[in-house]
Amino acid sequence: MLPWTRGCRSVRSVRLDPYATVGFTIYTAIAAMAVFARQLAPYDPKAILKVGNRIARYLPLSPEHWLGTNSSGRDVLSQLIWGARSALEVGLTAAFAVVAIGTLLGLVAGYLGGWADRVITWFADIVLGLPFLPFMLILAALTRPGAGVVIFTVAALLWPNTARVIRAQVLSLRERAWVEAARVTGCSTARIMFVHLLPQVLPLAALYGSVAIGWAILAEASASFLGFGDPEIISWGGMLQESYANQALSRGAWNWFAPPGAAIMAMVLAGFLISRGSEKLLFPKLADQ
Amino acid sequence: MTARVTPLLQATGLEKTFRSRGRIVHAVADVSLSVSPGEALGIVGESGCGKTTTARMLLRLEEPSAGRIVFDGTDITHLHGSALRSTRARAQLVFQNPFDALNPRFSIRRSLTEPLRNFGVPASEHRDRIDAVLRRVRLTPPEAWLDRKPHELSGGQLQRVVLARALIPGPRLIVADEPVSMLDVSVRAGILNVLREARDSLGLAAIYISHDLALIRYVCERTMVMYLGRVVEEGPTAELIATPAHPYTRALVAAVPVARVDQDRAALPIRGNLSDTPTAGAGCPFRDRCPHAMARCATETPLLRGIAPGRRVACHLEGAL
Amino acid sequence: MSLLSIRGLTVTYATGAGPLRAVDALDLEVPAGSITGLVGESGCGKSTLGRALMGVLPDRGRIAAGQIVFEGRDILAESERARRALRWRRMAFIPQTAMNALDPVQRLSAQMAEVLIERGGLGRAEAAAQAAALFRLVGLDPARLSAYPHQFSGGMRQRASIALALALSPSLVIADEPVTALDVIVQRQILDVLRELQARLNLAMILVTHDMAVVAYACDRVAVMYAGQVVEAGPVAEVLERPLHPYTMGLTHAFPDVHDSAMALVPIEGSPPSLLNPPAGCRFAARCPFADPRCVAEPPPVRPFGQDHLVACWHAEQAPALRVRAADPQTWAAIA
Repeated sequence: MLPWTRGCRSVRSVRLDPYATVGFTIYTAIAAMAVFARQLAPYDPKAILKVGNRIARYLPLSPEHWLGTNSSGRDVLSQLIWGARSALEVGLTAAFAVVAIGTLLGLVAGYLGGWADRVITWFADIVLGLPFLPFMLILAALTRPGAGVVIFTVAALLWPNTARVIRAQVLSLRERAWVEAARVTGCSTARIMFVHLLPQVLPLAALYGSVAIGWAILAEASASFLGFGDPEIISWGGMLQESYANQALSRGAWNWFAPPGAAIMAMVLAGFLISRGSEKLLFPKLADQ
Repeated sequence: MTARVTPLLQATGLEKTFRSRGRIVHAVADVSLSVSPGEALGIVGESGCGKTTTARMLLRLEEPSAGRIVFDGTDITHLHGSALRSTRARAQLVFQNPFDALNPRFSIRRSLTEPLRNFGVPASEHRDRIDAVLRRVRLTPPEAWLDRKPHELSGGQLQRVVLARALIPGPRLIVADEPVSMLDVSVRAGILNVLREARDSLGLAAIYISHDLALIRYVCERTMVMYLGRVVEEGPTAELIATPAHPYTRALVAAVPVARVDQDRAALPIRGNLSDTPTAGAGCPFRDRCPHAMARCATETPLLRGIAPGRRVACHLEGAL
Repeated sequence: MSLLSIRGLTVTYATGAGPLRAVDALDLEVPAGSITGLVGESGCGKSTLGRALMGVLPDRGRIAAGQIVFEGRDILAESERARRALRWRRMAFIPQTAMNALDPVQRLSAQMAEVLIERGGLGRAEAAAQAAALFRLVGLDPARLSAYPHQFSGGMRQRASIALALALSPSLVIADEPVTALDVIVQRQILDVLRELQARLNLAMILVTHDMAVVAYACDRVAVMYAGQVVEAGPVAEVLERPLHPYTMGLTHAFPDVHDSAMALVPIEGSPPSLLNPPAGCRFAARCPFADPRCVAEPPPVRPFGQDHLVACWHAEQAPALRVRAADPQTWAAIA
């Protein structure tokens, strides 16, 4: 009960900050797009539209097609809206995985110390050295391209940063008198970690999670752009890939590639803004300086 | 007539050493003590004397480098995990800093429920026990305090909650490390009186750690004086203060100011400053500052010897002072 | 003739909830050649007062009203430049922790030289000689001038910050809780150093502390502060043996005496009032066992009693009887 109420209060106070407000607004807008895609999208994103008998390729902006159509006659706006869904699915799942793994390992390493800390830190250092894109592409080549590969790569490669920060926070919390008091009043090690310490580190973990969302979406777009995405799913990266393959730039069809690019940028920016706004919440002393 | 009572806590030959900047530091060297049920022992000394480290070892918050601790019939020196946890119900700690001793996110009720939960007290009893202990520490009516958070309370109120948390599992021994040093003067008396009353009515044994001899005098029947990791004198508090046997105790007693204009302002019978590193090797740790130091003091570490019933001192001076 | 005369001083801190009156219309006289103790608990304003005198208030603090007459001059009426010239030359400050006074990355010789040369206008050779003399004055070996602060123990660091404060021979030294963070033997040594220096150099000293015993040991005069005001002031012997204000009466029974275990400790329940919205009447009324409706409604003025004893209490005339009652813990327990 308690971690949630505290979290809600933090969310409220974060909203008061202008940076975080903008970030949250972007997230909310894109989430709305994803959830209400069916209601919002004017057309089926995969439907090939026709004008008379001819396929409606490269239509310019018009009241029927706010963002025009692409080379195969599909409505760009509808694709953009539906693309939000896969972006969020990938983004949120990957972010959750990063937070979960990073927090758990950081908590264990920070509190238990000793060999657990050494092993986890060593492991984190190695993982940090792995290059993101090659890893993802090799994995995609070995298994099957799609959202699963992206989520797995983000989770497997991005947890060390979260883990490090959580570990540092736990190291300092460990010295506090009330943690010792928990020991003296009979708390087991597990209880101290998960009931006493975890609620304290969750805000920081959530902050890193929000940055991870942006990363995951970027990763998915990169994979799709390089042709390693799932071709059956409408995604922003897929839109970029298609527009590139059809030389949309030289045709001047900016309405095709600009919106998905802008959407990706917006998500990454939102993650950054929220983390910036949360700084005041988590590190209030910095604000005074 | 003094009957031989089985001590509740008996520690022998406690040592704690660690490495610092390539040197071996003896934070605690050869400390032995015992506390009988219902007795209050004070451990007094200045910073770096090892009193806090000793207290932490007694509660097994730190593992002794050497020595043995027997608490309530069980040898707890090397216990770990659940075996250690089960002894915790009987020995509790009161912390120095009331502002840091409670989880800032837990309500008072939650902080007080934790020990009950950990020690297997059935949930049906929780409410009554919490009410009873809050009344004991004079936070009444209990309902007014249960849902508050630590940041809403003053230092004195927080320390009462800390005390309540220590008393709620029904311990037989309380270790209080500077329990009032961070509180305002006007608030201290309240906490000390609660401690005294808890002792009297519950028959608790207590170990008080403090640098403040006046406080120790008020709450402890027996006192142990430590200097640079060693026990230098031990005995009934009033006697120890009135007629100190060890030169360090004598200087310590003389140094304490009192709230009377007419008090002793003579130069302290002590030389120099507390050295940064304990004098290593054999010899009395106090020899660099002792006005009565002899040649023997540099080569032979004095051991605690009895000089009167219940009084021991570690000094080479014949008949002490 | 007072070296320092404070009249109606009010110091406020800007907070999110409005101005906090840490010191409220305070009057105080500090005679030359004496040690005046300023005693009170946390939040009473004693540290703020010391800092206001020195002009080293934190950013959110400012002197809102009042007069500070030092060596015959009204220093608040003067320019900031003139006040800065006063600092360290005529009036010096010893903060609570020496590490607040000493620069951790500079040798002590350099820090002493900085004050002596830049502010004192001495030549290098003179400054070196003076620094050695100052170290000897506070009981430190001049050979240790080349050390860094972290190489000193706590007591030695405090002696060094005293030496620094005395560098330019001020006539007033304000020591803010100079011994609170020290062990008892070192505390006694530092207090002895301060007393000796005061006598030898005929300084005036203000010793800010929360400890009545320290006041009794080291001070000639004392002013007791509560909630931003002086509630009682006078010679130490007078105030300690014949206190007129209930708060002082409570304080003198609030902490154990090392030589007397039979003492019954008196708990003063409650907390000081909020300084954002101080009560209309006597600020101690809520915690006072002798308060009556007049105390709650009207703030008592500071009035003289006897020769040199000031008190702000409506019941000062009944002090002898009240003292007896104040010694009994039951009197105070009845309030809770």
